[in-house]
Amino acid sequence: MIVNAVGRAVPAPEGGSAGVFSRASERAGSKVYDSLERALDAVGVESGMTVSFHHHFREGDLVVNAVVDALARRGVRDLVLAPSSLTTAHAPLIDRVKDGTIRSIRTSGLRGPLADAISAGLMDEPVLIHSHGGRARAIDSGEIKVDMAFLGVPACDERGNANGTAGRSACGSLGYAMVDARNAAKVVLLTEEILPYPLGPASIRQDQVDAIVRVDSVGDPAGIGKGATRMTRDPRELLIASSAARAIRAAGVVREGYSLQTGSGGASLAVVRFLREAMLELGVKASFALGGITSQLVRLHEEGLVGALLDTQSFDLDAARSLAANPGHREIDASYYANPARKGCAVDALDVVVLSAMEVDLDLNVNVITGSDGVIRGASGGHCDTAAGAALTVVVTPLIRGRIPSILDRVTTVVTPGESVDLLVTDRGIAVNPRRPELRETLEKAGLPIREVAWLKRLAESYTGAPRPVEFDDRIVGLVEYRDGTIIDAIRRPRASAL
Amino acid sequence: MIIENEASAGTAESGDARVTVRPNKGGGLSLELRGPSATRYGEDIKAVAIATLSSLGVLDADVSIEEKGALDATIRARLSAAVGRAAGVVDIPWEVLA
Repeated sequence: MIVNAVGRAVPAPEGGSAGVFSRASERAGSKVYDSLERALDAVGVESGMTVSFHHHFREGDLVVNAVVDALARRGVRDLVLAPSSLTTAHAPLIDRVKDGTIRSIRTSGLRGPLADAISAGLMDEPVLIHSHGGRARAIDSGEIKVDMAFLGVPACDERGNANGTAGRSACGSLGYAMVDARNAAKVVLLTEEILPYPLGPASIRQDQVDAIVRVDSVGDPAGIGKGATRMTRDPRELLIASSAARAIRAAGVVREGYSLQTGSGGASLAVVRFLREAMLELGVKASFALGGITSQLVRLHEEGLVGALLDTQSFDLDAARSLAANPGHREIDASYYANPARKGCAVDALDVVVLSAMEVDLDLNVNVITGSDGVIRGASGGHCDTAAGAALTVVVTPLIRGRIPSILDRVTTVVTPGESVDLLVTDRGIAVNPRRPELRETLEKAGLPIREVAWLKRLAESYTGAPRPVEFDDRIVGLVEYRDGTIIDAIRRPRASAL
Repeated sequence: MIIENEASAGTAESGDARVTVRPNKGGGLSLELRGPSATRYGEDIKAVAIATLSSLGVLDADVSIEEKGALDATIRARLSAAVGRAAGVVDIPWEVLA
């Protein structure tokens, strides 16, 4: 027995000291540092650690480069970089790989000069490409142990409560960052604004945050909607979108309370517009829309045609605004969205998902990561997660892009296995997975132009000629993980095309 | 056909090609190709270009093709037009081009 600080005799704790109540109240502002350098001093960085980031600012992100440069200046080496995705904004990381600051990268997406360099053999270790659900699974399970998460937020309070809807540079959902914040050993927030306590709702919470740094800018919100989320006026993409919507309707999906997700990319986004018309005509409403939320889905929600918006990533500024304004527009984290290893995720509740593709093959395998030259230029994203979860998975693609046919004998890289794809919708016909003969019959009866995949491939090649295979050497520059953590494909280095 | 001066045909629009033909007197044919289809269709496009030049009787020329997804027919048309302009052809020999 010992006598504690308030004069009471209590059993002596094993190995611990007695008589002191553990910690004083945290002083307001004690987590706030006036520079990234000071915050790094405080949290203690070291070589070889795994650092994570989110990509909610997409092409506008400023955090990854700034933090990696700061770590490089301190002589940190051999970092494992585990951002939720990388974009063309991250070209400066090439130099950080060359100087040994970065040893390994795992990400959902990779585009631009960094992707070109990695495809050409920049890194000793292959880059690991995982899906959004696969990343959440790996981080939640500890397979990827994040030592330090550097999370850019538009605003937080002085104790670390943060969300993506307050502040000048509102980016909307922080769905990917939420997984990092609750699992990382240390969490550093980089924020543009420090707002009065308590900031709510707290997507990232005070009990998760070690340090806060105020910076001039974490990202350019104008970069959020860049590239992937344009609304198309291309007549061919509109034709594909309208065929896809007709097929979805004919399959009986557009009924009261159904649920949907549409990927980024012209035709896929445009499907929303045609589904809206179908819903108005049939007088039905959707219960929820999932995933990357776009202005098109916000419009349906505000019209009352879609009940809830479950938002793991706001694809444009309208979506970011809506998340703040509409109570039915809910932020969800990537695990809730698509983690296959937990006790339930939202993709499993989807009635239909519409996804883009760079390449599809005769087995309906889909490639969304490597281009026709074999170079990495895409993102796995939620592609394989939603394809596996949704009752009806629709892949949309033009038959030919430029001179390049979209349908091949074998895709360059498999991201989504064909067994999880039900329909392939092109501008010249629709193919049905042979595993779904009843669906084929239904669509044929509805008068939709059903063709064999091989027929579509031959049609494309009647215009383009058969494509020559990309030549690769034996060097593996990337590995593609399926959502369950198994390796579904390896990305090899393309031999430079000799011209 | 003798290439007398530099001339171009075509555009940088998707599905098209910009073809430039320059004199290369006594130097034979030289061909440069750039564009997004080059990896998968480079050999085919070059074969079409060589066949087109041959059918037009062009022996010496420095040809550069910047393709943006052009099909063979487009390559033929743009190259023929560029050759015609570079050779100062006024009356187009349609039967050769057919």
